[in-house]
Amino acid sequence: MTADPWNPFSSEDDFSLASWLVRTKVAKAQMDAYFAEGLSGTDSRSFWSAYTMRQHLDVLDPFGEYLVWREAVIDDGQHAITLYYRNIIDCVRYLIRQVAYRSDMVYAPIR
Amino acid sequence: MRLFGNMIRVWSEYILRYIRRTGGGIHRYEIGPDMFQVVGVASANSPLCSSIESEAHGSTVLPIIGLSDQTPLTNFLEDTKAWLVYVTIGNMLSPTRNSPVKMPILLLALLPVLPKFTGESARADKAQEQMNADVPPTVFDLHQQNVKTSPGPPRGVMVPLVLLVHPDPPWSTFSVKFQKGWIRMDRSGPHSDIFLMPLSLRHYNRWSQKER
Repeated sequence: MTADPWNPFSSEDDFSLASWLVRTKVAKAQMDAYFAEGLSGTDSRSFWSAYTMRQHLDVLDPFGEYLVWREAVIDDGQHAITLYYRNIIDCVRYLIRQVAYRSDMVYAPIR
Repeated sequence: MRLFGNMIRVWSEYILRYIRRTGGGIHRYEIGPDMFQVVGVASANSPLCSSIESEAHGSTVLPIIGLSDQTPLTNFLEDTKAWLVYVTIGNMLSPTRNSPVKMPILLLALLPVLPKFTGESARADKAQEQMNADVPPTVFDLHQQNVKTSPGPPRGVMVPLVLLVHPDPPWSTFSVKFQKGWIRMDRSGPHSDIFLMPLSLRHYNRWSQKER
């Protein structure tokens, strides 16, 4: 447990901005435009684009360990092809354990 | 709690009865223009049937829904395209599953679009496709997993994996047919490390993998 309760965000303001952007469903392009035009107001932000904000949120995800990417290279001597994949069982574990979907999971038929 | 357990038991028995009534075979296997949904089960004599009989009480049969699409990789200079494979599960209420903001659909694999083979490779590919077309689809396996669920204690979950079996060892593992070709689903150990791979990559003789 880190001593900074807002980690990986730099401050409460930083966290609140990210929280607001997610809750209000601001589009990725609009987020990028917001930061590009300097509207975030301070240089101490720990994120400066939708991508970097998503990286912070991934750190906070307690089930992120299930979503590890694996890389494979297949080579026949003439072609080398790289592909990326996740463990499908871990993906299922993630979906079932994810708190955000708690109220939406069903284990028996419903009408 | 007892009521809930009984509901699951009734559901399992319903599935088993349905399999028997249909005489086996995949009773629904849908391939749409952009996605397929695996909802179907089993040959009456397949391992799946006995697995349901012996293990399903108190468990949940978990439908996996796969989606695929092809997208250009604009970060690369060349005209490179990738084939995205997504996965979600059928236990989620459809308004949530179809929500564009709740992100219940996970990116499972990023596959390259294969180069076109010529000569001997192409002929072998064509022969293999013909052989696959001749093999009737069969559900092959269930994976029994104890999965921690969000609202409660660990739950026995049966993940149906999947679908088409072809008989040429050492390649006779799981295969799934997507819209634009074949994807193999192999596994290197029981209940773990399942990965996807385009079928025509069988010609490749070196396979390496690592975690990123």
